[in-house]
Amino acid sequence: MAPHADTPRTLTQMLRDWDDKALARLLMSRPDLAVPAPTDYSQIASRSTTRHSVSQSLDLLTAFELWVAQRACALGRPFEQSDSGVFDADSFAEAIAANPGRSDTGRVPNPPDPPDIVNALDRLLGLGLLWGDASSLRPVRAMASSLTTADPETIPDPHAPRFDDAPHQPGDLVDKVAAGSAFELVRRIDVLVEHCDHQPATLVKSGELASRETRTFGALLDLPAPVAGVHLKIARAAGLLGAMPGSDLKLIPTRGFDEWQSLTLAAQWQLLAAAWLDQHERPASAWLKRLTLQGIASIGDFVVLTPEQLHTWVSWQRPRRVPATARLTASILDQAAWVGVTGLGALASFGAALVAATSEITAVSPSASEPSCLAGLLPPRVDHVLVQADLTAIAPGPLDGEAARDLGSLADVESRGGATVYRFSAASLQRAYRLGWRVPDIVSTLERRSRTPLPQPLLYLVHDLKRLPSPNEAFRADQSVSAGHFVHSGPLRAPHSEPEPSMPAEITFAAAQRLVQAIRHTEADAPEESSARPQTSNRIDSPLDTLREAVETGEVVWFGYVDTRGASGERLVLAKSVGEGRLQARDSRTDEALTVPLRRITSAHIIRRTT
Amino acid sequence: MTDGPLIVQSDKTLLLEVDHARARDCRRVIAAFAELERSPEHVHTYRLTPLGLWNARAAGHDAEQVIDALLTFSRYPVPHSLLVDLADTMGRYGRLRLAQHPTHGLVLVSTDRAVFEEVLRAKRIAPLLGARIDDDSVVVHTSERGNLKQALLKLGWPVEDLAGYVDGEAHPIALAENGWHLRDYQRQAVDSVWAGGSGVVVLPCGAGKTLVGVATMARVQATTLVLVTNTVSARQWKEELLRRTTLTADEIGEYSGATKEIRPVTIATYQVMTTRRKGVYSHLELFEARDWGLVIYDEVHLLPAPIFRMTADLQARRRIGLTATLIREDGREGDVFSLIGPKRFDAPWKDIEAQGYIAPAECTEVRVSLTDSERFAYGTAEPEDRYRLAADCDSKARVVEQLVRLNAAEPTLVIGQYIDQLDDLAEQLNAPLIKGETPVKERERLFAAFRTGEISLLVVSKVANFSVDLPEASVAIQVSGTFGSRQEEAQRLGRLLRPKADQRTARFYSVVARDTVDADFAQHRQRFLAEQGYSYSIVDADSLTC
Repeated sequence: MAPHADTPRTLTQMLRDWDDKALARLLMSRPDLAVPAPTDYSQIASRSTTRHSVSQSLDLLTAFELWVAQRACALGRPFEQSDSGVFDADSFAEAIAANPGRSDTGRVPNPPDPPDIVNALDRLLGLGLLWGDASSLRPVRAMASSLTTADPETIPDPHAPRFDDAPHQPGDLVDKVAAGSAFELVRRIDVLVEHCDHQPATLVKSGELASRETRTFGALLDLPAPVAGVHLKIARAAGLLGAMPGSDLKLIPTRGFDEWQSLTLAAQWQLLAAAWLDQHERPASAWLKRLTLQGIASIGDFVVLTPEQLHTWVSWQRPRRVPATARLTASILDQAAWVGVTGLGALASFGAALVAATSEITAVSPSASEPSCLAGLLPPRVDHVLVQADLTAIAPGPLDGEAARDLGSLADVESRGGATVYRFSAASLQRAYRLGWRVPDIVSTLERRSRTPLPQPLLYLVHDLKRLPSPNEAFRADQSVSAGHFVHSGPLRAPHSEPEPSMPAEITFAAAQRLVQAIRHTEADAPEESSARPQTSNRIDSPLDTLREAVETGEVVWFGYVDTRGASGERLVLAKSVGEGRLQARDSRTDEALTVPLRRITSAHIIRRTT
Repeated sequence: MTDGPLIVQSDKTLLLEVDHARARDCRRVIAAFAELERSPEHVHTYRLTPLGLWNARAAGHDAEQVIDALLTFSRYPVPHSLLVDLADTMGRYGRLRLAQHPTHGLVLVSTDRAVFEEVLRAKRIAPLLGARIDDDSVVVHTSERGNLKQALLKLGWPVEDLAGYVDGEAHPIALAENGWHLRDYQRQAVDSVWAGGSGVVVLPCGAGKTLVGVATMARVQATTLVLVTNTVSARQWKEELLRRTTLTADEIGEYSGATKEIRPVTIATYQVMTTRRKGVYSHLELFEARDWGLVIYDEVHLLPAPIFRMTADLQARRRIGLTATLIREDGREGDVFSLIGPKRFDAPWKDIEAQGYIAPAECTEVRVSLTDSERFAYGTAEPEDRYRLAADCDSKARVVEQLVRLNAAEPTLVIGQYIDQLDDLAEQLNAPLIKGETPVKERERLFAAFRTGEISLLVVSKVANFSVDLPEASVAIQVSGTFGSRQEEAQRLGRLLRPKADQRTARFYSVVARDTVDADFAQHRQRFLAEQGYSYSIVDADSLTC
């Protein structure tokens, strides 16, 4: 089970001995060890044993792994380690398997298989929560204090919950329904960002959207205000909205929005859905969204799980982090439905592809990664409308950019969806006229765009514009330029903004591998450590790293300090913990308990045991 | 993406491309649960509304069928949120039921205990209920059956009324189909109402709604109370009953301002029923005067509020509402649903027109430019006076005269809102005028003369908007209307829609003052007609030529 053959004497040594893959996997799982980039193994080891980092790592454990971790720290019966905390993996697994305690349901369960326990230990080792090798494992010290012993008598299932009787939905139907929602999301974001072009969204000083604005967007999108607020956050996260130059509290479209508009509908959706998935929005954080969707995917294709079932699954996967109730899971499922990742409660095939590929998505990625099955389900763009006698024009699909601008100038949008219904009125035509459209331009544009003959009342209203006073001369300056083009040229745009990072330090496997290579390179350049170790370490580490190593190894450490009167002194101690700005230790000779502020410690050396 | 004829919009409108090969199939399916909102030439618009969906549930359709229909015919993917909303809305109908209990009488029964508890705790519901029988049922005060249905609909939990109907006092009525027959759609409408027990039939003006009512009476075979809008309409109903059924004049009574007869079939006007003396509705006893087996509400979209309240007490009687449009300008469509019943039958105007049962019509908006002095008066008037000034300006009179000359050979109605304006027009055109104060006898004489061709030009106020049968009228000139009222526009056009002997097209002119609120309102009204699929054009008054 251990990644190397020789028993490592320190955590640092164990990391040094690991192969690249294991090390890269550790950095991926615990991104806090990789940011900022460590320069050597001791830095990684030092970071990995802090209480905060250990606590974060424990959050990644499943219910069963957590239970094994508790036993490994001797927090529960029946297994008791040696005084030094060192134990043998196989003996540990057999002891636990022989006396597992009670199950969640209160009954004596089937004892967990020793291999399951060994697997759990392997995972703890891989996360750096245990160190050593199979015959002499020991938990990092901060683990015991980060764990709780809520009910040591219960034992979770070693395997994730299964829902064999969960209903299935027909795959094509799921995709079809999800595609409908996906199209709606794209349309609504388009409307929202276009709205911000005319009327920038105003933020309050905290950076949140003002509640009045949220209500405005709710009315605009015909959605409850909080849902409209999430739409705006998605648009921001996708880099479609950015701060207006000169005013951080006003949001306007970015140049990225113009690029986004030129993408296919499927690519537009993919960017938005990825932004939603990676968006860290309280309380639905990115990891929980992804885990929830992975939960649906892991049960089977097009399976529908209830929020309660999913909550059970997620709770088993991350018992320390998941909220107590299924409310949040239900909220994530609700969002996933309107985002178009799921349909009829099941994960759509393009939703599953997105969840699988999401860690690779970092910026706008047009057609290359566009889910082809989604593209086939979405309406194609059209360049024409059907003008009717009741003065409406129906675009039987999403209009291409130029046609949409023409129609948007001449008529008001009455209904949106797969089709767009425009309504002409005297007021809408007069507005276009005042903006520089001329009667012949309007007629020729309408004739070009309409597949049906123009009705007499519409032509009457257009020709009736001639009775109005001529519009501003400025608009007539350049007759060669299409009026619509004139009106739409050069809108104010926010600078191109990268999609907002949601998880502050998410490390891809490739990045982790690069880091490992860099550390290996640095270590190779450093003078080689003598194989015959001196009695005291002659490496110049920071006192903090040295003290942490001493905590891990349980070796005696010498440290120098300056007391409150400015006098320097030195002590030989057994370090117990380093954290919250203090070293807690026992004097190696008197066994007196000490607490020393780290800021007073000037140097530290481990007194190595001689073999 | 499929090649379906339907596009489902997220705002719950359904766009049906009428020229599509599958449009007819699609229309037949979606008409059961969606309200036809517009039917212009290329794309018809339907809307999914709670009432429409509950109507569908009342007719036996469930959410699965509706969703399946949308997914089958939809060209593009249907938004998930819309499907969820639709299923949720439809699922609300029928969780509460009114039923007859063998020992407790009328009871409210629920299949959803949470909903049951919710409604029992509602302030407006509690007083209407009696003792709790068990966890899922409660006694309902018999007199509150209608009020309970109304209140539950407002709470968003429409109740399914399975409490049945009293048979009423039996009375033989049979159709006398001598030389005529019920049309297929009329028979279907009668069947739907009979199967449902009560409900509303929507048919265009001139499509024979009265006959649907008459045939329903023949099916029920019981004493019947017919409520109509006015006395002229009451007389027309009586004539129709005598002509189409085996009923004799002695069996039909008129209950109006002039006469108070209570017979096995009694025709009463809304006006007399809502007359109050010393704050009390003095004719309420008519509802109790006999053991009515059927109550017919003509022009149900005009049902006055007091009649709604009275109807709440008549829930054990079979009811049928007849109308050309369910649009109520007061927005009380929900009350029609809960108190008269769900819509049981609906046929688009254009379908009936295509079958030749109603005349095709052309609508023309004639724009009149105001003179400088009229313009000045309009511009300086108070906002509340502007519509009146624009609607009855003198410039219109000249145009009306011109239009009358243009259609001299046609039986023509000039219709308006303002009596002064109509007085002037009648004098100027030398035509008889029918207005509110015209005695009923005189009205009947003039209408009869118009029908026979003795008079070819009639000036009428809004008294002729409804229920006046003038089959030969083929031109209507509207000089002013009730602001933007769409149902008034539909009713006025309806006067022209009786099929003409020579199959000619009817013409409906609306004379409006340019650049005024009159034009704005006219646009709103005319849009409604264009949405119904009538050809519609705008011309300048100056371009009219005789």
